[in-house]
Amino acid sequence: MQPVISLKNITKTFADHPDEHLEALSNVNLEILGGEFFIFVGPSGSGKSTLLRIMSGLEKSYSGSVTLAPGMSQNDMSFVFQQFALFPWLTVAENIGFGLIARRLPPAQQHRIIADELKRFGLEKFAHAHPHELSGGMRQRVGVARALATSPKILFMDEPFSELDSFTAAELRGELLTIWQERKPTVIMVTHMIEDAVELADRIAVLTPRPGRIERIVENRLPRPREKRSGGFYKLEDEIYKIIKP
Amino acid sequence: MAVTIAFVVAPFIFLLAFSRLAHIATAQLFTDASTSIVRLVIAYAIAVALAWASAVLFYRGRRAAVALPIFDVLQSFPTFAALPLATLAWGRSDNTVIIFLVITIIWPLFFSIVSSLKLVHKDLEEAAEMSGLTGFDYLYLFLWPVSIPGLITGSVIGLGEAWEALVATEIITGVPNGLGSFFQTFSGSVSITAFGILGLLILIFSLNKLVWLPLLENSHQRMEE
Repeated sequence: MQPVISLKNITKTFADHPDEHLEALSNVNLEILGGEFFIFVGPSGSGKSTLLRIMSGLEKSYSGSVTLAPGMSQNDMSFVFQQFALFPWLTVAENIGFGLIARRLPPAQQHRIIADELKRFGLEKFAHAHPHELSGGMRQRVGVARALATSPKILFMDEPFSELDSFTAAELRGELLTIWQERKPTVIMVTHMIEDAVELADRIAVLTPRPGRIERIVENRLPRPREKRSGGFYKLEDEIYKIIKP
Repeated sequence: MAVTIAFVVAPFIFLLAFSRLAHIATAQLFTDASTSIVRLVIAYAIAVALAWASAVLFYRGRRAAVALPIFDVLQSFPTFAALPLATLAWGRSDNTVIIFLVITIIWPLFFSIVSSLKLVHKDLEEAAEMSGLTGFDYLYLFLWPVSIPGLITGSVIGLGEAWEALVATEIITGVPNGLGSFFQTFSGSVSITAFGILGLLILIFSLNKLVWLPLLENSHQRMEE
């Protein structure tokens, strides 16, 4: 299978303070396959968010190379933010449709996509509400709906559940898995919750800090849907935990 | 609603009553007031366009590092020192008054818009970038809405200074009509001058209550996350 995105020798140095050359990422090499659910876990400072931003094109100063599969462009990527990043002056429906404007879709098609996503995420009643009127869980639903509206081939997610309470987060993880299985985008996620990674991912890259690098990539062969209280689940969690804290 | 109408009508009633009491031609007083207001509106429109365009150009990056200190010095420039010279060069014209008003209004607008743009959360900028918006769409659909709170705040401050600058510029340049010429004409009468100032205050107060305060409130609500 062809990789949708490959990284070669990615190194990122924060040179803001000349005397403390902080190497955020050191020599990262990686290939992610089409349709894969890929997760980076690691403690803070391991550069996982930076890596996600480099892959999505948001971070432009780094050395090394990011290569997309032939025919793919920035327009095939979407990003879900930790703190939702909804446009506060727009309604829920307008937020979901924001990415469609630049893609020059006919208005009728835009409306249909927005209506579909509103329905898919149970947001129909809130279509004309503004983000500040919604709960955190609802806001992140809008964030995910906005990202999926453009039918991305790669969906980047930066700690998408860490601002939510545990019930809402569990619910949203379930919805995300369903959608991933329906639409089969490549999902590349960052989290510091090992449990979430084991629940969701096909492969888990474990990052360690100072300098940030991929310590190991763990294959997650647990059958789906995954049973969180099973021996295999705990075993994999422990394995990852030991890589981070040997 | 009744309050709104009262605020709209109050300045007119005052002008009317004032002109009758002071035995000034009502038409002349209205012409003077409206001439000045038209100058102010034109100057404000020009200042908004220039301030917004330069704020968007210079709010960040290497350009900001060069431009912001220069703008900061420019805004401290004692504009009125150059006013007699400008009057000699351009004459006692509307243009001279408008140019000096623009120079007065533009700085609070510029710096308020810059601060609005700088305060935008990084992830909102990233979300806009991921949406793929470029060029005119990016200006209109992203930078314009996020700059509105600064635009409103800057307008309130800028226009506050502009009323003062308006009368002063009109007096110094000696343009033949407008509020400046009105105050100049009646400089001998304490009561007419006092009532004239009172009338201006009523007008400014009404405008603030009707236009700027609601806009200010609304613009901050819109940006509430």
